[in-house]
Amino acid sequence: MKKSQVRWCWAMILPVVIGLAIFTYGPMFASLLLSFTNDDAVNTPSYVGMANYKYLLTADPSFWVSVKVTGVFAAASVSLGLVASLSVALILNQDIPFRGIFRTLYYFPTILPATASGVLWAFIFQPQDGLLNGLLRKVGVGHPPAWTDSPQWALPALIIMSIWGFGGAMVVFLAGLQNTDKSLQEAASLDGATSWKKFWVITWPAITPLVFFNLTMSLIGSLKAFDQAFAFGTSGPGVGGPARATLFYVLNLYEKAFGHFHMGLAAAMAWILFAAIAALTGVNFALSKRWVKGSGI
Amino acid sequence: MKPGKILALAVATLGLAICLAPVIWLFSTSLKPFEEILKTPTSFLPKHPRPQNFTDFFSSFTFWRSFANSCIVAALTVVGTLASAIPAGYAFARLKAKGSGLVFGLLIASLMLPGQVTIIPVFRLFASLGMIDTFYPLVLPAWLGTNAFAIFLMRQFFLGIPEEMLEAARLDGASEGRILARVAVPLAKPAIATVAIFAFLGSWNDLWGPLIYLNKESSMTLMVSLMNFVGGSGTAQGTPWNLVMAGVVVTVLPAFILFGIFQKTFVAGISTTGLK
Amino acid sequence: MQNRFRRRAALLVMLVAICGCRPEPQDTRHHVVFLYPIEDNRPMVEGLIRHFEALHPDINLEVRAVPGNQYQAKIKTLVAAGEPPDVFVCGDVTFPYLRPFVADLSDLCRRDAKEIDFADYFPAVQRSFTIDRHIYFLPQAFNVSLLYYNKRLFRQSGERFPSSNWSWSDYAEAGRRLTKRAPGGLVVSWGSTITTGWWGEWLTLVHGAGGDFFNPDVTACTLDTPQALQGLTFYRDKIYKNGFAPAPGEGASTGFRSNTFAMEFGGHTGNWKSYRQIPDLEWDIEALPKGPSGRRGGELSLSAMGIAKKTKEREAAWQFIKFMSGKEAIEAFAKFGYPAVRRSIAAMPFYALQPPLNKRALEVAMESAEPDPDAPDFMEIALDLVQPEIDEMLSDGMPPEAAARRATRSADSFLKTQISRRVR
Repeated sequence: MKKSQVRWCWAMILPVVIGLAIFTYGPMFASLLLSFTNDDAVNTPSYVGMANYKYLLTADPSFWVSVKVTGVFAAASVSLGLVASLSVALILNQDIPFRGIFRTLYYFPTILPATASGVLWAFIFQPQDGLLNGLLRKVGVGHPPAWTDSPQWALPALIIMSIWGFGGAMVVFLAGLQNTDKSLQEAASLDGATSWKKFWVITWPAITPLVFFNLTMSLIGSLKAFDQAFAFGTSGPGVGGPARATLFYVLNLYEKAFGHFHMGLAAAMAWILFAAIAALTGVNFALSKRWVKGSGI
Repeated sequence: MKPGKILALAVATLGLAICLAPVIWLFSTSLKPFEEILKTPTSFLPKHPRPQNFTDFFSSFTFWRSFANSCIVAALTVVGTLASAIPAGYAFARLKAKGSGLVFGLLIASLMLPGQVTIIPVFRLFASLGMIDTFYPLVLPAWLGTNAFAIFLMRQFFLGIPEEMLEAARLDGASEGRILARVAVPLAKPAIATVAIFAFLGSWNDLWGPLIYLNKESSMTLMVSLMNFVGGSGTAQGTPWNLVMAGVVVTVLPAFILFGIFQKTFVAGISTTGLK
Repeated sequence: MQNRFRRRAALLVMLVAICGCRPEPQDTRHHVVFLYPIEDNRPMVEGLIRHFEALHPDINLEVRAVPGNQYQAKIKTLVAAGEPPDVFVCGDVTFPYLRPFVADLSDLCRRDAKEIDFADYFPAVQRSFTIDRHIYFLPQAFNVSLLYYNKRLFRQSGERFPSSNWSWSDYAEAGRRLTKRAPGGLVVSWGSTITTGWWGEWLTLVHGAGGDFFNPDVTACTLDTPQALQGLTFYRDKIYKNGFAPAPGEGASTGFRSNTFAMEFGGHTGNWKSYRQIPDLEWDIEALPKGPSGRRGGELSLSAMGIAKKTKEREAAWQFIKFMSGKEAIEAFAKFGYPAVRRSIAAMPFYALQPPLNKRALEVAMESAEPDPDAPDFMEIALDLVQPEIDEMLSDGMPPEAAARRATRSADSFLKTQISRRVR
């Protein structure tokens, strides 16, 4: 009995094993080796040790810029997104009429393809013909920001675009809020507690696991984001934006790999990214023990 | 209603208006003639609606071919995802074998992996097999269980089946494969539907893979064609945003329709993933 | 249940296999793969291809169409994957990068010289496709930097049309006078466009002031010389000091076509057809103004076709590119709206009647045009390392001296690393 279970188990997970070997861990190892060569897809590659890493970390002007752009983007969009989704969830939790419809409609933008929303928002932010500057000019702003053409405003534009997808996190928060014990809230009200105090003492601890979940998902997502930024850039003044303003780390990587075929260099960039994500996730999980109440991970 | 509730309702409505304004503007721009875009960018209703924008978009490149390509790739991806995720999810949930836990751990760890780390060696692998400019690189991985999220979802679901049902079937002499097919799968229809929908959307919306592997115009999927249209049409006439928005509407349509039909599944799926 | 499942699975596997299969040529004809960039000239080019196939029934041309803006990326990808097409478009700024993969056509050119009639090409075009006394590609059309001007806006302002003797200060003064403002201060029409996002205009101005991008053996970037700086400063001053060109994000998004720009600096000959289609746009061309060093500084780049070194169908591919650069094809390209690369076509009656009318300016521009730097990494350095500093400068975020210094430093450091293709 047991033996046949084991055989069936392996038969059923065999495709996964093969897939992980061919498409995940095999290539991971291969790309690590690649990162120590000067492979440029044309000449025979030779071993160059840490030269690629050294170039990226010390001599390449685009590397640290793209780290900064990605970092700023991640911090801003994750935090603002969390605030927006939690706020809207709290508002919808007030037992207002048509709550189901509100929830569905707020969620809607998140299912749009990232490519399509990148193109749409590139147009909204188009300095001369876009919706936003059109509205700003209507209310009297003579020289509205040049958004996609401006080194200062291009990244804020992308951040605004990414916040638009807060509906996903909002739905998670709403479900969690509705699960919290209503009787506790009523008892606290009878005791004379203010809404603010009720929130911090009762609601917040109950939803910290959800905050953690949403934080983790959106953090990893914003560090890996490609489709939307690429579509946004291609529809505007060019991938990377003016003065590298929207040069996300993965866009930089894509350009190096498939724009200029610096394969070894791009592999090094990929591994640095992987190490960073692993470290961040580790830190995130470790810190979570401090502030996430209830179910541990 | 309490004043607090009225305020909440007002704020919620205002927020929704801001949130949906881009979508409304998307639809209205897709129907505007080009001159109207330059003159009155902020109007939400086109003065002279021009449905020809859509036919113009269709004829500006081999649209129907791209559309068909996206459909084929998405369909093959969905089938492959289900074919590999359902048995794997069941095995990880209900069957014990030494080492299967390790495989599962490696699978979950791979969720953290950005696609960029593996792309170059995988690209070279497909190039050496002569598969560049074919659909293989886009479809094969799905058949080999690379959609960790799908497997995770199926496993979560199968964990919830009462053990007695499976034991009863085993006592009857059924093999695990038969149990999966006859007992577990019929119960799993909602989970399967969720996985299928997300797998379809994931493939339909994918830009990265087609961008890298497809070169010929006749192999392109819809997302890449849209990007090529936006990027390429600029040189001669200035970007025809009205046609571009018509294109965006078309690419968004499947998601729109699926969402309309399966709203509850979407929202329920997302909520419970977070709660678990 | 199992059997049905297995059968369905097999059917699906077969479907996938069919989807991925490519058709096998069953015939004994010469099979030539042509990677073709899709532009707005598609019907015309496809007509030419069909005619070629009718003339050469023993050659089977497989046309793989790629979106024009993706072309450079795709040809590089195919070369990197080891599967270059037999015939592809090259001869412009990507040539130094593609050079290792392009066949030397010199011996074929000598053999068929009479048929090709090299003297029929304009001298500047000939100089462009002869590299180190070798020929690697044959041209269909070309782009040269020009000064475009809007006749109506000039007349309304009482300005004399530009001449080929103009200097930078003539250009700037006319630009200032032609910039008109509404009562509130907002600009209604601009003196001139300014081209941003790539090196087209600013490198021209660097040349005009006597500077260059690289030193002659391409071991160092020379954008920090006083001459280069003068060019970059003039570029920036168009917006911020002389105020006759719009800052990034301002001015009509359709540029010269919007009828609100009195002049366009540089432009592209590929736009001629679309300018002709705008009913109330009266336009013509002149050679670019001369910079302080006497150079006009503009570039000449060819749209041409070459053959892959690895091709197995050299002779068949050669027949094709000879045809596409022959008199019949060039006439078709010129009738479509491109400038003619052959003198015999330029002499035809229809050519003189087709706008732009000032064809003499075209010849002046061709003779004074400069080639792009011969460096495989030029595009990468220019776009990824230098352009961001120029962008910053144009948004008034950095003075030209700082932009030039930083750009030169990045470029030099790149040239020294093992990543630079020059080093290998």
